[in-house]
Amino acid sequence: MPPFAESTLDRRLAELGGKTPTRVLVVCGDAMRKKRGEPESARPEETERALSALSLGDAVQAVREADTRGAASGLARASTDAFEAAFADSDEERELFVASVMDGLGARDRLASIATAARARGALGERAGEDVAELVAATDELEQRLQGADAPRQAWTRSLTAANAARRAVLATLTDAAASDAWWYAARIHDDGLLAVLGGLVDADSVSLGEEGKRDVARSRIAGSDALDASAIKDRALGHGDAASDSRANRRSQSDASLREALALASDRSIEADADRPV
Amino acid sequence: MDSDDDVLFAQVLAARAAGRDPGRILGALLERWRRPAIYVIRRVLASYRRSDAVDPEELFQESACKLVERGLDQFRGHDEEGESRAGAPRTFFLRIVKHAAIDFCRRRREELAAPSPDGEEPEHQGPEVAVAVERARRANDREESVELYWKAFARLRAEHPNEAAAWDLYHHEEVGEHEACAKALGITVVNSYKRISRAQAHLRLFLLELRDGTSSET
Repeated sequence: MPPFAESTLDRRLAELGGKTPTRVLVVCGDAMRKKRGEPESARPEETERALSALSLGDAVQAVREADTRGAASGLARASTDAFEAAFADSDEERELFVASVMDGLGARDRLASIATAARARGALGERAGEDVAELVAATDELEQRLQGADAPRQAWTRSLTAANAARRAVLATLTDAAASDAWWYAARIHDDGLLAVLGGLVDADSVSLGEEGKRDVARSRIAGSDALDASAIKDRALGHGDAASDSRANRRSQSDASLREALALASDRSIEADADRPV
Repeated sequence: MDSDDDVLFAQVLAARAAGRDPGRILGALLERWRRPAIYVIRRVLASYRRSDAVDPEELFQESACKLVERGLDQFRGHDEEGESRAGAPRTFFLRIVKHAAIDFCRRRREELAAPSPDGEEPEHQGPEVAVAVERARRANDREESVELYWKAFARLRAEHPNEAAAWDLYHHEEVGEHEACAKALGITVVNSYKRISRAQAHLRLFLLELRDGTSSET
């Protein structure tokens, strides 16, 4: 029996279905990104031993095969399900959606673990005099692909606020360095009530919102009906109105003589056609 | 005359596309359009019985600003769809002028209808230029907000048609109460509340994405 047979790493590898290069990187990276004392953390010598046992070739292949598209779709799904969590009918339904959110975020988190473990494997190889250039290049390329996958993060994180309690719980287990990189857990973590406010379920004053959340609430105010009337007149005057906006404006004008008058003037093409008359 | 306009206008668009300042040519073009534009403004003001409410020149300048800030891009968009029509740039500008004049008259009517907080009218409105600039700035902000709103609503309709239908009925058609909304849509009152809330949250998220420039709108 190897000396680390009962270690956290082996237990987690067994839970994931057995040892493969990708799983070794995920489990080691996870352990390295966790605070000491967390159930999934491990002693540095344990992760070093597990990573050293992984050949450089296997590590390179695992990094190249890292599923960045899967992570992007996991993030998108998490964002959608977080929105559903915010408007769920029951606590039970909300919990199901939040579990799905965390599953989607987990897909992105696993890639962060792979990158962390790959860097560590490279450093070990360098110390041992191995040529690690290929692994370093593959890890650089993975991080670039991740940047692309993360691009719509600003849109996603607003919805993720509906799962803030669960995100906060995971965030608390990460080391400071890992937490500052893990935007999928950390971003908008103080804006718990954002979706409820945007949906008009509660007032902004009655929920916890950070500075970014307060700014979003102010920046997303919806134009009033006066502004929409002005838009209808403009569309009519410029000949831009589509059938839907025309019929909407016509319906609204039934109860608003001033709007009716304005729309009639805007529609009157004889005014421009006649414009060469002496003033 | 119209064909000269078309040539000059094409030069303006070409200069803009090449990143050059089209100011000189545009100035010449606007001078040619000044007289018909003033006519359109006077006609609209007269329709609203506001002939003395504003110097037509001010509205002409405001229209010129709108043409430069947004109109040139809008016109170019239209031009891509079909053949160039003789006289089209001039007519397009006169429509901007007409819209600006109508908008002014409606704004003015609202200002006159609203009582001052202390029940007394101010003796004067402050420096005219500052007032005009501030008014134009607010009008531009408002137009931008409305433009973004309709973009966000178009995305809502494409991605969440049920929520969009409820929102349209409640806010655009001003049904304004959930029982009628629910009846029209054949849903429960509770679902009407839910759809409106979800629609509002989606719309505001889309608006934020549009303002951030990160919209995934297709």
